[in-house]
Amino acid sequence: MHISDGVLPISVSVAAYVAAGAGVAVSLRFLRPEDLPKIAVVTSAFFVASLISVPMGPTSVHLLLPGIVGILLGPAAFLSIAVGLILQCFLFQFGGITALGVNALMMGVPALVCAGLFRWLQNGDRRRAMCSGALVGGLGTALAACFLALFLATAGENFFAAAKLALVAHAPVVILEAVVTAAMTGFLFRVKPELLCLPPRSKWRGKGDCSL
Amino acid sequence: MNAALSWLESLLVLAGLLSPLMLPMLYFLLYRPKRRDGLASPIDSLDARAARPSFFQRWHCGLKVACLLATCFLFISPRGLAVCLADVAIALLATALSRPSWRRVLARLAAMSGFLTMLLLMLPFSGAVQAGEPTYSLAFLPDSLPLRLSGLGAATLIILKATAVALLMEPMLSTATLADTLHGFRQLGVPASLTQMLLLCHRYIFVFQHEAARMWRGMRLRGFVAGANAASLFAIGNFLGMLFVRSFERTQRVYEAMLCRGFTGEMPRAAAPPMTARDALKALFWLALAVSPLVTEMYFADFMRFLGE
Repeated sequence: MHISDGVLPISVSVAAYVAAGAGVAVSLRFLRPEDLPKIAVVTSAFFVASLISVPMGPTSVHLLLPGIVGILLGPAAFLSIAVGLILQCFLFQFGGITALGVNALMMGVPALVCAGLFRWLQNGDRRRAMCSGALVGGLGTALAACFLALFLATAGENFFAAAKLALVAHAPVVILEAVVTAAMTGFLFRVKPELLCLPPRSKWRGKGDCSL
Repeated sequence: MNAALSWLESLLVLAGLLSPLMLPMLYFLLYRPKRRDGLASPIDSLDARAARPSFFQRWHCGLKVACLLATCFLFISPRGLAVCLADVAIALLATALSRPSWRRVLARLAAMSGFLTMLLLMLPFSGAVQAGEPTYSLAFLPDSLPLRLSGLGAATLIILKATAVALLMEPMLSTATLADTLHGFRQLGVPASLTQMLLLCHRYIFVFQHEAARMWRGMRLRGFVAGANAASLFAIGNFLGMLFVRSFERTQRVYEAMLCRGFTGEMPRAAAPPMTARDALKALFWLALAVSPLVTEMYFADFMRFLGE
């Protein structure tokens, strides 16, 4: 769920803009220019993937995917998520232009955490990759929900109930996201392991394209 | 001060609280978007109407983006109900002047309605009741959960602000080609590499949505029906994995082709027309219009009251 315009105090919006802008600037500085088109393409793939609705009981939800972005892009995940959110705001008004900073922090920081955790947990075993994929997929969504609740709570005491509701509403999505991420990680491990940015100690040493 | 409402009044209040949901309903009734199961309907390109002449289309891109972005932040700054209503009116005027696709304007408003309805349902009933604040007990809620007018006011302000900013998006983004709009953002200090990425992404979204739709059709032809079970979720996981593999391989090919055609990290684009006095006048006019409600409230409140007496 994205935060809309006008919900948070302007001071929080502007501060989040500055923080997210700094994050994007750091990502851009550490990237080689030739990697940018690759990240752009992966970002649009995530964008399309997040439009697919997954059935959940009588209703359906769309996936947030911060975990998967972290797994695939590593440190570039923050940039990718920021670009994806800008496009979602430009095209569909998911989140608003003044709340872009808040939304980028809300999704981008969990993606960075997921990226680090996933790399740390790998040892080149497929079952382990799938388990850590599930953990990271669930954790990414759960962290995003926590950030959402935290940001809503900065808007004042009135928003505490809405923040709690936002936390609870994300619980089923956490489970869905964990299962889908595990399946996807297992699939990629078999089909194209170099996409997973496995660390050097795995048996795919040297083959991995972790420059992204 | 607590007033108990009858069942009829309570139901009317509930209908009012759920009213933002009218927008998606209206959207579905008017436009009946085709949904292929599981996949969203095809996305409209952001700048499909960029060539339509309008007040905003003829404005210098950098100035337009700067003025409208400043207005967005102005509209979310603290302000009263009357000013917010005037902001929405100004934004609506701007939208009409930009000759937009009204379908997308409605789709934008509908996209926000879920979140805003959540706030409208939560804010009036949460938070501590101030001493002397008027509250209302709804017939189907316990007396310990009264509706607070201040919470309702706060939620209404948020909805008006979000609507005003959302209405400004069409004039800002769809009255020039995306390359020109992003060049406008660049003139505001957004790094070139970021705008290049946005441009590439906007191009690729359509390609990949087509690809995803093709793969999804293939899955359905092989008998896949999405359900809420582990097998479906695993199939969707594999589907996403395949989408990423294909997009990565495509990237490699496209990037090599771009290098062969002399890509240096910067897309060539035609030089933008220079800023003229007319553009500057437009900017002055727009900024004056945007701050007018606030100025009216600040300086002429006494005058208005005097007129009222």
